[in-house]
Amino acid sequence: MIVLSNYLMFSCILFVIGLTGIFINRKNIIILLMCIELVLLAVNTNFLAFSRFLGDYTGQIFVFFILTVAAVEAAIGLAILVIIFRNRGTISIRKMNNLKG
Amino acid sequence: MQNIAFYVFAVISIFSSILVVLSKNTIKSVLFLILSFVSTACLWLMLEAEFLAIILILVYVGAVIVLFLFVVMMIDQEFEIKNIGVSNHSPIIILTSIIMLIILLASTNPYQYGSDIIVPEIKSEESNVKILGVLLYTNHLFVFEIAGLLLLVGMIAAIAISFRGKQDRLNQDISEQVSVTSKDRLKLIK
Repeated sequence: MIVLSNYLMFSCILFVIGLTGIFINRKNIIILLMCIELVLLAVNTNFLAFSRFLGDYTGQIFVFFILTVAAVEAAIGLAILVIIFRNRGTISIRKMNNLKG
Repeated sequence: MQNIAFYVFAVISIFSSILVVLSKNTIKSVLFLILSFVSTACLWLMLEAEFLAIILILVYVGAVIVLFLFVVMMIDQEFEIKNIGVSNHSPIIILTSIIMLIILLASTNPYQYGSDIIVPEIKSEESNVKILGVLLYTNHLFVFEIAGLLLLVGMIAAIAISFRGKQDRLNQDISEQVSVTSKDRLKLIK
C-alpha cells in the first residue's frame, strides 16, 4: 500500500539529486537552471502529497503559484544566459569569475 | 496495481533526473528532464491532482522545457563536451549529498513521525478542476492577480534584458524628423 512517506521519500531523492547537480556542475548554466527546476519539482510533489493525504486543497493552490514563479524564473534566467553568451561567447561557469568572489 | 505504477514512475523519474545531472550532452539532459517531468506528472495524477498534472505537462514540458531546448540549440556550438566538467571539490560534494539524503530519508521513513497514513477517501463528488477554480477565484483571488502581474513583469524583464536597441537597423527617428528646420534641409555653399 502506498503511504505518505513513499511520496516524501521520492521527493527527497529528487531534491538531493537536483541539489547535487547544482553543486557539482561546472559546465554550463543551462544544466544549473534545469537542476533548479528539478528541486522545484520535488517541492511541488511534497506539497501535493500532503494536500492529498491530509485532504486540504490549499497545497494545490501553492503548487499552482510555485509553477507560475518557476516559469517566470526560467524565462528571465534564459534571457540572462542569452545575453551572457552574446557578450562573452561562452556559458561555462568556470570562466565566469569576474567578481573574484 | 497502484503500488506497481507508483514504483515504476518513481524509478523512471529518479533515473532520468540522475541522467539530467550526469549527461555529457546538454540536449540529452533536456530530453531526460522531459522524461522526468512526464513521469512525475503521472505520479501527480495518482495523487488525484489532475489539473496540476496536466498543467505540468502542457505548460512545463510544452513551453518552458521547449524554451530550454531552443536556447540549447541556439547557444551550444559544441554539444559534446569532452570532460564532464565537475567541480574540484567533488568528493566533499558527494559525501555531503549522501549525508543529506540519509538524514532526509531517515526523517521521512514510514515508521516514525506518523508519516505512514494511507490515502483517505475523497469526500466530495466534484472534480478537481472545479474545486481548485472555486478556491482560486474566491479565497486566493488577490494572490492570483499578483501572479498574473508577476508574469507580466517577467515578460517585460526578459524582453528588456535581451533587447539590444536599434544599432544596425535603418528605422526612422520621428522626433528628429518633426524638429527639423529649414536650415537643416538646405545648405547653400558659396
